[in-house]
Amino acid sequence: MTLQVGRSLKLTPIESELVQQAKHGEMAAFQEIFEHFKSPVYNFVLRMIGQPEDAEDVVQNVFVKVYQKFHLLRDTGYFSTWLFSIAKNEAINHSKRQQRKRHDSIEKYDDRQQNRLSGQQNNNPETESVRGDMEHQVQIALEQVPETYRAAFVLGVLEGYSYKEVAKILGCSVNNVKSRVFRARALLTEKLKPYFNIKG
Amino acid sequence: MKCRKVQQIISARIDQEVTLSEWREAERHIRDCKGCAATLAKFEGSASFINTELPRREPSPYLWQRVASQIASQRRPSWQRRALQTARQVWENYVVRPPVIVRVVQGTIAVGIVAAFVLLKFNLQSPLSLTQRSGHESSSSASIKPELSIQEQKREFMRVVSAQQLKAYFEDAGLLLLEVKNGELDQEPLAIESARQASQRLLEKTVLIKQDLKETDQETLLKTVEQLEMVLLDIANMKDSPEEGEVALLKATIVQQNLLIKIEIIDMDELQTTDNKQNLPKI
Repeated sequence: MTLQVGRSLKLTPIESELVQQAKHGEMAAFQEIFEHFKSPVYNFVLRMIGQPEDAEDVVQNVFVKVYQKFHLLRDTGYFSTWLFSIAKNEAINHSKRQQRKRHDSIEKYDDRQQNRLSGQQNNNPETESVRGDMEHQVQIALEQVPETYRAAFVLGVLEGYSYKEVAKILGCSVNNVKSRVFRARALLTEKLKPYFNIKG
Repeated sequence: MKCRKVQQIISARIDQEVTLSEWREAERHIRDCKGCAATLAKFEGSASFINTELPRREPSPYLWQRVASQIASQRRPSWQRRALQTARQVWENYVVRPPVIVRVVQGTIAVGIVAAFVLLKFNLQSPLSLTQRSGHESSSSASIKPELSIQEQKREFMRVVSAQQLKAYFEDAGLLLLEVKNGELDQEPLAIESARQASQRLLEKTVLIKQDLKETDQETLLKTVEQLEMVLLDIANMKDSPEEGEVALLKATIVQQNLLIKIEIIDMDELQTTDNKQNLPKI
C-alpha cells in the first residue's frame, strides 16, 4: 500500500509565527504560507472538483479569501483547519455552479470532460497516457461520490490527515468521519471493481 | 459485532484509525464471515489502486502571481469598506468573542460602576444635605446624592426631614412617658404643667401623623400612635392637683400597653435608609 499517512494540520512554531505576521498584512509571510499549503490545498480541491484549470481558480480564490478574512481568525493554531474549511466550501460552491452550468450546456460539458487532464504534467507520454486515462476513470468515479463523503475521503485517505483533523475541518464527529470515509470507499470500490483484481 | 460495524472498522484500519482491541474483535468476526472477509480484500485492493492512480499534482508555478495580483487589486479599499472592516473586527473580537483580558477589564469596570453607585448612595454626604439637616437627625441618616437633580434632591430632602420629625415625635413622646411613669407628678405641680404642655405639643402633631400613616398604610405604627394619643390626652387633661390614684392609673396604662417598649423598637434609621422611603409619612 502507498498510503500517505502521518500528515498533520498542526503548525510548527515557525509556521505559527508566519501566520501571525501574515495576519498583520505582511505579504512576504503570506507568500511563505502560500508556498507551504498550496500543494495540499490544490490536491484537495483538484480531487473535489476534478478539473485542474478550475482547481487553480478555486485555490486562488481560497488564498485571496484567507488574506481578506485573516482578521476573523482568532487562534492561529487553527489556521490549517480554517484554511481547509474555506477550501472545502469554495470547492463545493464551485461544483454547484458547475452543475448549474452543465444543465445549461451539455455539449460544453462533454468537451470539457475530454480535455480534462490536458493541463497535467507529462514526463513519459506513453505511460502517462495510460495512467492519465486510469486517473481519469478514478476521478470520474470519485466525482460520483456525494460531496460530504468525498470531502472526508479526500482529506482522510488521499491527503492523509487523521480522522480527528478531518472532523475539525468538516465540523463533525470522528465517528461521522469514519462512517463517511467507509461509505465513500464502498462506493468507489464498487465503481472501480472492473479496474483492479479482487482476491476473495 | 454487526457486519456494518466491522466493515467500518476495516475501512478505518486501512487508514490506521483503529485501536488494536477494535481490530482484534473485528478479526474474530471476519474469520467467520465471508462477506466481511470479501470487504477486507476489496478495500485493500481499492486502496492500493486509488492511491496509485490518483497521484499528487502540483499547481502552476504562476499561481502565486495570480493570488498576489488579485490581493493587490483589492488591497486599497475605500474608507467606507475599511470602516466597515474595522467595525466588524471590533464587533467580532470585543463583543461576540472577547478575549479573556477584555472580559476581565469589562468585569472590573462593571464592578467599579456598581461599587461607586453603592458608595455614593449610602456613604457619601453632599454639602447640601449637611446645611439643611435639622437638630434631631442622626449622623448617618441624612445623605443626599450629589448626582441627583434639583427636584430629586428636594424630594429626598423632604423625605429625610419628614422622617426626622417623626423620629423626634416618638423620642419626645418616649421621654414624656418615661417622665410620667418614673416621676412623682402628684407631688410636683411644676412637673404636671410641663407634662401637660409637652403632651399638647405632641397632640398637635399627632393629628397629622395619623393622617399620613393612614395614607401610607402603616397599620402597626398607626395603632401605636392611637394608643399614645389616648395617654397624651389623659396627661393634657390632668388637673394641677390630680385626684388620688389618677397618676397611678396613668402609669399603669403606660405599662399595660407597653408604649415605651413599642416606641423603643421603632427603628427610625431603617425607615430612612430602606427603599420604602416614599412610604414615610409627611408631617
